[in-house]
Amino acid sequence: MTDCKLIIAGLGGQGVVFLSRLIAQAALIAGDDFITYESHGMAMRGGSVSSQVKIGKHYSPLIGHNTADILLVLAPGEYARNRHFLKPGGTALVNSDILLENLAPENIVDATTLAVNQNLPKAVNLVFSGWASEHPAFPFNFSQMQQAAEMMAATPAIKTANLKALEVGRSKILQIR
Amino acid sequence: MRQVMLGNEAVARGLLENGCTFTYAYPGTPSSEILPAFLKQAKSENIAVHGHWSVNEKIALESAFTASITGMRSAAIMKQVGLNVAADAFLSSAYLGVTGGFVVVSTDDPGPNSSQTEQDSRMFAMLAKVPVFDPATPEEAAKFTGLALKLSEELELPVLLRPTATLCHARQNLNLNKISPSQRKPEFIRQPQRWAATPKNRFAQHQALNQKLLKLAADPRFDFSRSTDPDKPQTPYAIIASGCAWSLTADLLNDLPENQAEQFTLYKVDLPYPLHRGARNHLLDKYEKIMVIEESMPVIEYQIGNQERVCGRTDGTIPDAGALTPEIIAAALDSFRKKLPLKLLNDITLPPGKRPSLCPGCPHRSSFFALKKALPKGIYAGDIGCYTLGINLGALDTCLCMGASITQAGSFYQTFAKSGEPIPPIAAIIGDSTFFHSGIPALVNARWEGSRFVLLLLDNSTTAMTGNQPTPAAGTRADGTQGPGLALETLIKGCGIDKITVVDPYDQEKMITTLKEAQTYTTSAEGGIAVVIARRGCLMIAAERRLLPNLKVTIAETECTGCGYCTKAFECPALVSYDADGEKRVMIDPITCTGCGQCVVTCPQEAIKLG
Ligand code: SF4
Ligand code: SF4
Repeated sequence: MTDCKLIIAGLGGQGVVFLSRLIAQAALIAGDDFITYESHGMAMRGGSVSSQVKIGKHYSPLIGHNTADILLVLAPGEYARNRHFLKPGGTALVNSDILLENLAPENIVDATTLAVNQNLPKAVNLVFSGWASEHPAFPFNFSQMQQAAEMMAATPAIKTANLKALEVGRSKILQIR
Repeated sequence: MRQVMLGNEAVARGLLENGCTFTYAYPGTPSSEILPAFLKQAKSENIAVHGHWSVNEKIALESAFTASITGMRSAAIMKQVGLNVAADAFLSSAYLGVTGGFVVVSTDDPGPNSSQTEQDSRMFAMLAKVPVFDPATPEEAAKFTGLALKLSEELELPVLLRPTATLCHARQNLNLNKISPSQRKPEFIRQPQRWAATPKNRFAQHQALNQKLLKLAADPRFDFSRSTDPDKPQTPYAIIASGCAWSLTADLLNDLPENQAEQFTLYKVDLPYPLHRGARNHLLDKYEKIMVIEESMPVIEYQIGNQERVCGRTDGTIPDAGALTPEIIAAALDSFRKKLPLKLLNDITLPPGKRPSLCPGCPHRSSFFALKKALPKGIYAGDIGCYTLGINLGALDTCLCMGASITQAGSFYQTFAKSGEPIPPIAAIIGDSTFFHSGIPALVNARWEGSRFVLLLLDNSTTAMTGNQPTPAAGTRADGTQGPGLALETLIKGCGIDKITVVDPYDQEKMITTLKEAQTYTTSAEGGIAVVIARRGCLMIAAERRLLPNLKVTIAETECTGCGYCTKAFECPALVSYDADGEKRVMIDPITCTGCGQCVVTCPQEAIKLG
């Protein structure tokens, strides 16, 4: 049984909620219980937003300071705003085009450029998660994320685009290795 | 069957699993997803139901109540401040009682994150003398919705369900029960002494209501002293909690080191009002000190009513404002155990986050820009919706509650006029949905009183803030069927307003001249209220996006001086500042830019160019 607490942060419109649902879907595929929390309403108008995902037996979706296992950040500016949630020894993975203070370069990917170069400007979140799912700390493997992305696609065209975006992200990390 | 559901979808599921066929709602965060989920699930299971976006919460509650007194199970759904709007009907319905199960769902927003207050609907239930359930998880939300419908029918009383935002927007895999269609037929039994009770009968009804509540406070189903493991040895400390405050505390106790956790016993209250008397007495006998953890007001704490032995929100063990977080509860547990005052660790200072702003290309931004140009020294009385964000643009001065913009504009006018002082330009800014909600009586009143101001009606043909629910103007209903439309112009004319102009806010020049004309009209001898309808659809709607002019807009790096006027006065998220060799410049982000071209006129250097 996986027990993992994740925080997903970014700006409204970046697909933070979608990413939390994708991970929840992966948990479902893996047979794990979970509870997540999504921001709605005013904050969605481009402001700072975050989703919380708790995998395992939990009642509340809220995650306390210094307790998150993983921090997934879609906008560089949101890293500093959410770092305090990470437990000592936890893993932060950040989408950024610049290096960040207190973060090893291998924990940073420029998913936005990758996505734009592949003509997938709306799928930055999926490119990012394809990359993140290859990290040893990530609670699900790439194929579980693939299945989740397939299940969440409303049309065959979206499905193809989702899978392509995941693959773009993953190939980035495989190249480095 | 197990399925992933949002807390709000689980509430909808609970309604359907328990034969609720009539659901009325007014959208508002965090409640907005319930009605669409109700209709969607009913459709996919082929069950005939009726669900409708009412024009406001009062109408939603009255509609659902009426369905219920024909014996049908029904629900009224709103956010906590919506219950204020529906208060008259809500309190009265408690005296009259119901026949079919009737649940009022009022979602709370501790924090607050998307509301004007962080009031506690459970407190409202107490005021109305209506029983209230406080679910702790999405799974429980579905279950308690069903319990609420059944209890309502059993006691012939309205029952409130109070989920908080954390639960509404929590997603969980949960167990579903079967949905079976209701076989009931409506039957209205005429009983005017009940349904149209006079004050004398109302007194008798009040006494009967009190009897029902007394009975419920002794109902063994809600004896929360049995909500914990009976074999657990006596602990020094007891905690009583309900709803999301309970789930937070339960998770936290699970994470505590065992030698600390074993000092606490956590009791869970499902029905915070009326609080079970026996359980209360039992726990007071059993424990020296009890801490109550609840959101957001001390509803359980007041009912226990022993200030010496009970702590929580009333004595500062838990802060009396703001949403509960794991940190606050951890600190409260600590202070409770050590009998020390609460010490919150405020050691984290966060860099400021990005504030929300209107979407790129949003027509409201253009309206606000024109308003500032046309009435630069004006008082801008604002209202509730996406356009409350006009505050970022310096184009909104007040925001009291739904529909207040028109009343406030009128009252500003009267205050200056009746004091014999010069009257500044005054504008009321209201969206189309808010105008339908509660702006109409305000407009009738303002005209009657003889007030004069510019009413800028931002008509984007939708309820945008809460997820684009339809409005009566187009006539499309919650279930997608088409009703008769109602043109805003006709409605406003019917309120006795003669000066009405419709403008496309993207035509900024015309917007400015129209607003200036409107202002002149308010000061002319035969003038009065002038209405300017700024009409262009919300860009969250795909069909409206297709109407965008698709312009190519760029900023010439050599001409931009980096003054920042465009980012400040226009604040389009697609206008981004960057650093060009040590100098500030602004560029247009090609991914988020919608090509509306509206920023072009803002640049004093004319550095923003088309093509
Ligand atoms: S584009 Fe114009 S308004 Fe914006 S910063 Fe540059 S000079 Fe100023
Ligand atoms: S054209 Fe200008 S105002 Fe319109 S979306 Fe692009 S940057 Fe924003």
